[in-house]
Amino acid sequence: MADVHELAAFYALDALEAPERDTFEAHLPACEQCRAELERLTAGVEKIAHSLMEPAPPSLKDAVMSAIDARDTASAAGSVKPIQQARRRRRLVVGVVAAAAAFVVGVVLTGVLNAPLEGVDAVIAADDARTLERADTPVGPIEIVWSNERGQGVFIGTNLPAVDAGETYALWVIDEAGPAPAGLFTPDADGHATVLIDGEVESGATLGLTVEPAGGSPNPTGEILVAEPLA
Amino acid sequence: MATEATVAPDEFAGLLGKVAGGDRAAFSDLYDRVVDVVYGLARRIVRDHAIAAEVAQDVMVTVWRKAGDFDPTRGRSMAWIATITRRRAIDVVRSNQAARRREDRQPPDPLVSDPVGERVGEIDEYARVRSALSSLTDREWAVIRLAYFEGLSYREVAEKLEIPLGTVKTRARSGLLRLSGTMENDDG
Repeated sequence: MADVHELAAFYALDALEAPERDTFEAHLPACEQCRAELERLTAGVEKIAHSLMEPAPPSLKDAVMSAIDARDTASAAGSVKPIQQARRRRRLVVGVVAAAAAFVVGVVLTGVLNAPLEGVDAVIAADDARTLERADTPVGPIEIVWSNERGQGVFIGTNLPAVDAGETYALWVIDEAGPAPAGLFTPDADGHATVLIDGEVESGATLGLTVEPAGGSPNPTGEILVAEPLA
Repeated sequence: MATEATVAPDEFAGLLGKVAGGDRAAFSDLYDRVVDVVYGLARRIVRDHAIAAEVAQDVMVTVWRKAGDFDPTRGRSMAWIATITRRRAIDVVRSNQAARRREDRQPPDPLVSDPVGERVGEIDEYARVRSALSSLTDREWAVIRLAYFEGLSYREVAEKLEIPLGTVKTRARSGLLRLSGTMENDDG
């Protein structure tokens, strides 16, 4: 299967591993024969898809159109990471997610809508994911989902007090080396936040939560509101 | 001769170009024309109507955001949208499988406890699909099903069917060309 020309059918079926897919895509511009072949092969893929056609729920269109409107507003608000705007953006994203939620039955799906959610779901779906729940913290009930295998965790707050304008919640991963910044976030209007803990974390470290000035701090300056083991 | 056979012009490529430029009306039009295909394909993979609707919504929003990534030299537009759909749906099924493996106290869920890769019999009973795709031989269908609906790489398909890679390729290619109506005589 060394010959790159041989890969067209597998490319059409999306059955190549990433390196071969890249090789084939790099080859395409130079090979008219493969492009012509691919045109015909993907016409076959279209036929498969068409054979499965089924009426989508009519309400879906409104949900999609408002989702793209929300996205547009969100990206117009600035695509860099100005923390002052994060809350506003998050609220918009939450609107999108809420619209989507109408279709979800008890299953949390990855958010193509909100890239970080993909990492969140990867942790939550990990085979070895464990959830630590604390009902009574200064910031209300929290959960920490931890996957040892992935070396990643997720912080979930369900009734977080709002922070003042100019402030942000900050996560810290604390180990022998001291605290390291692990992400900033602001909860939504309902006090919800689901946040992937930044960076790779070694089991046995402690997750800390403080309130910091917007933009974060190199070291915790606020009171430690939460300190729980990641394990 | 048959090698001259060509496929119809790509009907959505132009629309996708407009969508890439932020044209909402073009997107609305595209939505109307492709959503039933997206939904049907998603449902074929995830089964559950509500989850299929969620997948279809994600896919359509992705199409809006990523229309500029569509590259006509890499295949046809509906196939591009279908492949986004099928990847997304397979991700959802796999992620649910992983989630449920953890929660072994959960009662069996047909979506999950019967992993995608083990639904072979059920898939072959999918009469509507089979009749639409009835020009395929069983051997071609087996390859296409495992690769496209169950997300196996071609190497995994070869392992699962215990056939050489070259045979997997031949069957994938002849099946797709047959469906496209551009099968060459010497492929038959």
